[in-house]
Amino acid sequence: MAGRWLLALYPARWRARYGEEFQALLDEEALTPSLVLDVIRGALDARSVSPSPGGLVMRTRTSVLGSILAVVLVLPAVTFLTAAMVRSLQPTAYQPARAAQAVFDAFAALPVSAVWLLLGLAPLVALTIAVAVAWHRLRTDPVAREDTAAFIAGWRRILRQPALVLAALAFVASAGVLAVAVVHAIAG
Amino acid sequence: MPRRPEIQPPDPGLLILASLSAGPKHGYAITQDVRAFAGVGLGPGTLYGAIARLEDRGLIEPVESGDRRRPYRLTAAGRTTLEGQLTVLERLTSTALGRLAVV
Repeated sequence: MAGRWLLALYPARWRARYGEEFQALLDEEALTPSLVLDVIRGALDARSVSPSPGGLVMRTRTSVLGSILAVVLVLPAVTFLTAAMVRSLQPTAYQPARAAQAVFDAFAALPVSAVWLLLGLAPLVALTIAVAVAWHRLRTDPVAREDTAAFIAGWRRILRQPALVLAALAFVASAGVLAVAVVHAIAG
Repeated sequence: MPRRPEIQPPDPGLLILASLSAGPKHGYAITQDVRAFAGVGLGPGTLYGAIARLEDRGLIEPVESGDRRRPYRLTAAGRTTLEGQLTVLERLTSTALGRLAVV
């Protein structure tokens, strides 16, 4: 590929967005001194431009606020369900089941409409916001799109290695068992 | 060494918008089209600097393509901007040509 080194003059973020098509254009052109000068000037220009222009900052801020709102909306339901699970793991005379029981009782004391609000409506709104934010980010941010594709491709490659997957499962399971054993030993 | 002309060729962004007004094109097709209708050679650095700026301002957008050479098309805002710029240029051209004719 002609001019690969020219592409390397551009910042990584710019290359992630335009690198492939820019290289395709370089492949069509003859490498003349004026072309090299033009690309160097373009690379300097790309490096002088802020990686987060105003519009992008605004979109990012909206996405971050939306994501925070989604987490806040779903947090009470997650707290309630976690408390319900933890309190059944051991007698409520012991921690953390005692604290979990207290949290569960606090939720159980709420009116039915409030429980429906926390367990039904709030997670539904959070889900809608999360999907909208993710869709918007993937549609408007090519870097996020490529990172997501690379992430999925990476997981696919890992899942094709059964030895690695089983070793990871064994690691997580044994670490979990040991953590529970240590917690019980400390709690008596 | 020859001096650069003091009057520069049209802005690369305007040339790209004008080229895309005929339909979506990828980078190489834009350079060929601009060379054909304006006689201006856009280098890859100049072309993609302008494309990045136009895309950031929402005046053009990429078209999904399986090809390495990603095509771009005008957005509604790009079309409005192009129309506005061309109206100004048309007024400038007709005024200047009229005055030259008088002289």
